[in-house]
Amino acid sequence: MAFQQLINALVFGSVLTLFSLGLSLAWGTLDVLNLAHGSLFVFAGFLAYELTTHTGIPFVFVLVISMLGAGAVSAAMELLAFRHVRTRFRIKRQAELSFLVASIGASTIIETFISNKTNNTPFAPAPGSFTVHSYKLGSARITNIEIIIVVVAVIVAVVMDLWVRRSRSGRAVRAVAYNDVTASLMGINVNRVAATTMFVAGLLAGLAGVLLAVNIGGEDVSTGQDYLLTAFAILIVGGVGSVRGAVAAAYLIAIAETAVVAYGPANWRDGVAFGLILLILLVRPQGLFSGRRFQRA
Amino acid sequence: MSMKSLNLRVAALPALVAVVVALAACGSSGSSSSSSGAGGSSASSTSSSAAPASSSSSKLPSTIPVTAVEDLSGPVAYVGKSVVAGMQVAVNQINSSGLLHGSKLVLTVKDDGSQVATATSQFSSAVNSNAVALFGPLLSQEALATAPLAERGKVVDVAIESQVNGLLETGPYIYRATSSQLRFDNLIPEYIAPKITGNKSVRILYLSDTPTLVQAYAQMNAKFKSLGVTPLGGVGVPITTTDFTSLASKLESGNPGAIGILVIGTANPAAITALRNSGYKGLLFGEEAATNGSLKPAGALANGFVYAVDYNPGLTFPSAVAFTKLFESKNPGQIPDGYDATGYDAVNEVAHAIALSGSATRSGVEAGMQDLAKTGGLDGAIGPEKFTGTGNRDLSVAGTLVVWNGGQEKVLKVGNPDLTTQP
Repeated sequence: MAFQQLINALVFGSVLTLFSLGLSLAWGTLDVLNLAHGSLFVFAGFLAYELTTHTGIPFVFVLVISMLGAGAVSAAMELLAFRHVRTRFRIKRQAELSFLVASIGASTIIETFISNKTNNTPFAPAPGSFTVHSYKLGSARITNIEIIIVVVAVIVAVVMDLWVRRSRSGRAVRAVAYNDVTASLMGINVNRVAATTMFVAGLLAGLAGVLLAVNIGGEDVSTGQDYLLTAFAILIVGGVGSVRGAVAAAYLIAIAETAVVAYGPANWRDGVAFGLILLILLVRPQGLFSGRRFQRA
Repeated sequence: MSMKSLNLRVAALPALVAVVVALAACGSSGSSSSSSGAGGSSASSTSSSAAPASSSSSKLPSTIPVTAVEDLSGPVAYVGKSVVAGMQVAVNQINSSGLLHGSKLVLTVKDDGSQVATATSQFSSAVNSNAVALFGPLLSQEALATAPLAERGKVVDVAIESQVNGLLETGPYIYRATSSQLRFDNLIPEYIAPKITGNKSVRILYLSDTPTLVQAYAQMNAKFKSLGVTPLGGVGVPITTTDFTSLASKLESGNPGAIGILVIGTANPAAITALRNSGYKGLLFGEEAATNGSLKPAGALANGFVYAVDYNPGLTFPSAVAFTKLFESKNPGQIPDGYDATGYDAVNEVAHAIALSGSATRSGVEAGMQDLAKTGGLDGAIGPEKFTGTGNRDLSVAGTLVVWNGGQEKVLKVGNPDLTTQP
């Protein structure tokens, strides 16, 4: 059973990675603590459900369309809400609370829309739209969708890390994260960077949402909220804005939660996981991978 | 204290007394309220706000107002809408059947938005109106908050769907129109036990923070044990659990011949998917919350899933068949579900109570409900229904064992309607 649980932890960690990376991008770059991220995650799953139920579009295209849909909604939130908050409050601390409230509003709208459309009953991509096969791996089993989730998570994490560190646009994102006023003075179009960042964050939420919907076989509007709390913990533990930190923390928490569920009282899952988070923060409050910061006097 | 402030206090006293007397007069007039609560709306209102006029040919008035405060928006809106649909079918049928000797039942429906505060406000308005009976909200916290209002107003409150402990203990005016699943859950082990081949054991997954399901787990465990099936222990999880892949391995340890899934909503298809994808081939069973199409997202993986419900369109009791045909004729293209049936039966219970007592006053309705309980209940959409338990105010039905196959529920067995709890 241990090997099976290791595989379960790997898959779960990969889902958390995909979910958290988008949130990390928005929070680390734009200081937007986007509480609607979970709703975007579910929205993509809802789009996949609608497309597979009412059309014969192949699953790959369903995935892409659903991701684009989530990305578009995320970009719309930036254009309609977050940008105006950023313009009004030049001091970031003042803007943070307004970002939070705006994201709660957006989340409510998205969730109400999905609730009305689904009558609050569970939904998932239509059976047969993606055929799940199970394979034996020694004493354990793994399905094709789980393999896809792990592979995609690794690829996305590597690409994100390289993009942020090595690419011109990634440097622009980091510049905006450090100081958007200075970045603007250096010729960076902050609004375009912000919109692109939120779009990419939505894409990642959508990717995680569709893959998870296929994997777990059913979700509803509250599913995203369950992952949101864990994702925030991942970002805190990993260090806000750190791709490597988010990935490491995601797998660490996945291992902890899987171990509790498999070998301990399952209803202590959240308690033990967050207890571990508290311990880590006591030792390293800036997060595992966040570098030390110095401020000149 | 200065002389000026003392004079002010003395002068204010008669004014205060006058206000209190005026408020008391308004409160006792029983004037009806036709407004809906904050955030809610009146989904269907066919009543006037005037007091019902008396019919000259009968003791019953020409119109008999009743009010339903239901969750028509929010997380359980799909339940509330079904309940109201069933109620409206019942109202139309009663009014055309002559059960009330020409008097017309008039149903006002209010949406509480699944908010306790809104439900309380609307229920309070309903208690202060001329409604002779009320149908309470769905969520347990709403039902518990509104029941005392009905008790104080001495108006019958028929609670819909809420199975929370302590509700009926609020007082003699509170009735429950939904049978507790614990009364018929034993149908499941009775069916499953002889079908277990190989390892005669069972393991059950249940929601540890849902009291009814904790009780269901304990009850089923005991029943399996009495049938010679070894319980391997339960796995309790919180209601927030969405991913069951790690739990699947734990549930399968010991290779049980059957695994029970006692969860709510989306967790049903998620748990089934996780178990079947992990290679588990044994029997799977669940409980009532698996109904209403919850298993659809799991597709063919959910085929063969067994659970017990109160109503199924395949019931063959004459009254159940009649309801199914009537509902389908009034709602073309729709198949009735247990919530439609519950709403239909709740209205019928009140209507029959009025017919029995011959009175449409609040005390008459309450006396009629007790007469209904003493005369053996009625044959409703769910089949023979009895009021039993606390003060003879808790509904009991036979229960129906169903299996999910090909996207539909199929009836396997119906419980014994002469029993209040299936053995």
